[in-house]
Amino acid sequence: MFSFASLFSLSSLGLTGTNLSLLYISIILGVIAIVLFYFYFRVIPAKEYLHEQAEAAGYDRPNEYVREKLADKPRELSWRIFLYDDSKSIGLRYLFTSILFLFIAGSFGVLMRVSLTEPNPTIIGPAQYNVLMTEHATLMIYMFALGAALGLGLYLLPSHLKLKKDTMGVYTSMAYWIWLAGGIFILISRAALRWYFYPPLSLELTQSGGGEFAWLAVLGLELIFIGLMIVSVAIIKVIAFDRSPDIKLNQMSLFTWSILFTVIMAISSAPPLMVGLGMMFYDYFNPIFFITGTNTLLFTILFWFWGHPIVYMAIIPYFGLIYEILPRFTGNKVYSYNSGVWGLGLLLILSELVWGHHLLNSGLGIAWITFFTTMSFLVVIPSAITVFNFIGTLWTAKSIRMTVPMLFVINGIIDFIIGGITGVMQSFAPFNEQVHGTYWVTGHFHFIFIGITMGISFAAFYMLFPTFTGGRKYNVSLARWHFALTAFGSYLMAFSWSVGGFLGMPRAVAGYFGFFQGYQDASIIGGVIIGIGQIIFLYNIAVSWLKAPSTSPDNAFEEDNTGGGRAPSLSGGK
Amino acid sequence: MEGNKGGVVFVVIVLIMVAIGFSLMLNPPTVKSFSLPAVPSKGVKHYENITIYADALGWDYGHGTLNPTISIANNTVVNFTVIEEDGQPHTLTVNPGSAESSYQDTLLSTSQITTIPGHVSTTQAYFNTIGVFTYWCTVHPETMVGLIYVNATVNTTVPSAHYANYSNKTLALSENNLSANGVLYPTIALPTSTLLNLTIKDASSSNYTLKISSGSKVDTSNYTTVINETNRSATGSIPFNQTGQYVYWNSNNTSRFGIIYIYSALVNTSLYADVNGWNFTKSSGVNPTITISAGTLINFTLINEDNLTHVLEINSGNKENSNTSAAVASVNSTTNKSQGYYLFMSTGNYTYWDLYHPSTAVGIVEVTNSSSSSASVSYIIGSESDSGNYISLLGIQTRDELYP
Repeated sequence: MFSFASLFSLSSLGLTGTNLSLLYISIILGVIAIVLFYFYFRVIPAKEYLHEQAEAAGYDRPNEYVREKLADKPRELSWRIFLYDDSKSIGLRYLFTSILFLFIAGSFGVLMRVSLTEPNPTIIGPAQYNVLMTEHATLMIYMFALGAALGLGLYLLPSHLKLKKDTMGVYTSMAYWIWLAGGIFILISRAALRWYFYPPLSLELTQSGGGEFAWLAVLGLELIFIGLMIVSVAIIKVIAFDRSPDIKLNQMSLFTWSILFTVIMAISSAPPLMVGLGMMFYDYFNPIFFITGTNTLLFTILFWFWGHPIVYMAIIPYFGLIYEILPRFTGNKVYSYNSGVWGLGLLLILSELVWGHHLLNSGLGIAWITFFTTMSFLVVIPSAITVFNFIGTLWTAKSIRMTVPMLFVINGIIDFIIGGITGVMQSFAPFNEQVHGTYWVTGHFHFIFIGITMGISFAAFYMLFPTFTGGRKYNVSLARWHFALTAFGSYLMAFSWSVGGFLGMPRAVAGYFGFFQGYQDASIIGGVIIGIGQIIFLYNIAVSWLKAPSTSPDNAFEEDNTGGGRAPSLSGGK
Repeated sequence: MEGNKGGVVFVVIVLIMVAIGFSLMLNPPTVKSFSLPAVPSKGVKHYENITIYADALGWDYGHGTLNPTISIANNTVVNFTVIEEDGQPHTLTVNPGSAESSYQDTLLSTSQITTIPGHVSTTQAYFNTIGVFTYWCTVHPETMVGLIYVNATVNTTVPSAHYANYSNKTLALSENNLSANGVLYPTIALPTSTLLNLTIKDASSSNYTLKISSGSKVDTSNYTTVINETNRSATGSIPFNQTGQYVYWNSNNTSRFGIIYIYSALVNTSLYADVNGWNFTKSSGVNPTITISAGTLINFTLINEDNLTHVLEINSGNKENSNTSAAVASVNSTTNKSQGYYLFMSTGNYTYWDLYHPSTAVGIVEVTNSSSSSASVSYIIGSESDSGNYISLLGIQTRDELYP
């Protein structure tokens, strides 16, 4: 066989047998993918498919054609749906893929919970636990949180911006496939790197290291970044240049603002880690950067410069969605549009300056610790602006319709307040010294991720369900059960973690000391309750979709479907 | 309008993907199991006691050779004793192959090797597969990694038909030294294809291990254990199939060792040391050229002619080189006769010379290719008419007669 091995000295990588053939397969598949992309964009005229159909039916604008002609018709089931390059199709692809990964990664989370019924690892071993934890964290944040945010953004932005022409669909469609390939790489790599990918762990292709295929996870993450960069640039271009002249900047919906801040954050903070991952992949062949390098904190800094913004990127778009959902069910406008924009914008700026609080115990020095601690406290200001804006909107409402999306929103606000306060507490350096590496941290971010990221995704999904399904209603009582179990389970789980973690329960290990049995048991019950809630959600989708359409398929996030002459979104400025 | 199965399809896809994800995660590539065979209750021929210190900077860090190579016979039960050094968690993990692999067997886990410095943990491992194994610590795979050679060469019983020659030796152990008939570390010379049966008589009560490595000095990282003794007397057999130089030593005293020469031919020759040149007054002519085949061991007998000090040095190459030369024998005013061996392993020219009179006493040993078997050895020293006078040929020995 033609020897790539001699070319790249793969033997030094420890790649032999299966691993080596897997690398060959990866290279061959990569070449095939490049050829397919070429055909996709140059040979197959699918990118004009919808436009052609619309023109054939006598429509100038594909969106109008879709709304009027295809709204109550089932789309033909064709492989071409994977090649549609209109923003809404791509958004749906992102959204449903992210929900798929939510269930994959969520099932790993429930499995981890169940495995901790006894202090010593009995059901699954530490090696499997490490893999489950890594996959749960990495897939949740990159495939679910990021995917759902981008999906909802791509789905809602064209109507919020009254796009005349969607010119970036080709690139976002390609970005979707790159992003998906990255997620699949990470899934099949079964790496045990945590989501940090710290060297030297990630460079040790052994059981106790990052796992034999850890390099595949590094490749996968780099692919996700490439996809993210493409879609971010496309979204900025759409918002900045392609929006209708009717929509002034100060009329853009708050959701559009949140997506804009998110993609700006992605572009401004991801490149260091993209370079870092490239250096790390080079280290597999010739370890010159992170093993033999003198600065042991180099990779952690490259990582957290991205690592903190990414967790805000899993929050800010959902704040935007809350701003869209609240007016729908309270009947009044957002309390303060300007403070909403400024709150989200300040979150963008400050979140880029607080990454060091993940390294408070790593010896950055007192000056940097003071800086990062101060910045972390300052983040409270825009967070509070946003939360008080939510509360103000609710406070001034004449009546609040407690629909399922509204329940998720209110629960999300409460969870964010709890998780936010526990988060600010641990940015205090002496306190961090105690709770660093304990379940306190896990409890903090699960309050926020389940309450905001997951809960608001479900709220948006429920609101859009009639649109997705052509006018079908979801079963409200099942959806309420879904909400109740998710909210109660997540509260029980995260609260038990916070208390146990405060007492010193170490996180991210396959076992625990018997002293913590009670906190672990409570969180297991909470985790299983969440899992049962999601099964109800799946059942609800399947059953409700089987029913006949009984409501309007209009997009609940678009205002101009119901009333004329106003901003095309619920939260737009005056 | 009819119902739509889109939701069902999506739910089915979700369930399939969750199932695939579960099966993938619960069978990560990292948990393929390998395990060494169970220690048999009887029939084990070899036992080896190995004590290693667990330190994050490397096995045995600060205790001799770092990450020592362990060489054992096939079908050996190794009694590992691991002593915690640095208060960090360690494992003793073994896998086949010359590098760490997840296809491994962790003999001692982090909970067994506790983090209490000085804590001693023991385990047994049975090796019944010839080949190379890696022993390492999964917590510190970069630093704590060494090799285990399981050798086929040292075997329990060797069919006698396989060996042309046998040699039985008896060595006495005293004060952690080895001796025979009062001679410390006697040199042993044996023809190739010899099975050496070594018997150790232990006068003391000390435990010891007799080890052999190839080369000209003690190599504690790559050796074969012949005898591992905890009783007063033990016997071990070792086959020598290849020409070369080996050393044997007592594991309790690695600073002293004896030499084993394995030769294809043996030549006894006498050299007369004179300030004017080797064999200056003899009929062979001064500084005679000695012609032999590769693999020949020459037993030099050095005889002093002028009561000055002479040292016979030999090095490869056409001229004397004190950097590479080895002292074979020496005489002076009080010692008029001495004896020493030199094994000529490779073809080409060697130079034999006198350390004190290098300008006059210097000659060449021509080593030709041993194309035929070891039985045919050509030697020409001086003129043939004088053969037998001062150069005695003992011929090829099929049985060892040099050493009682």
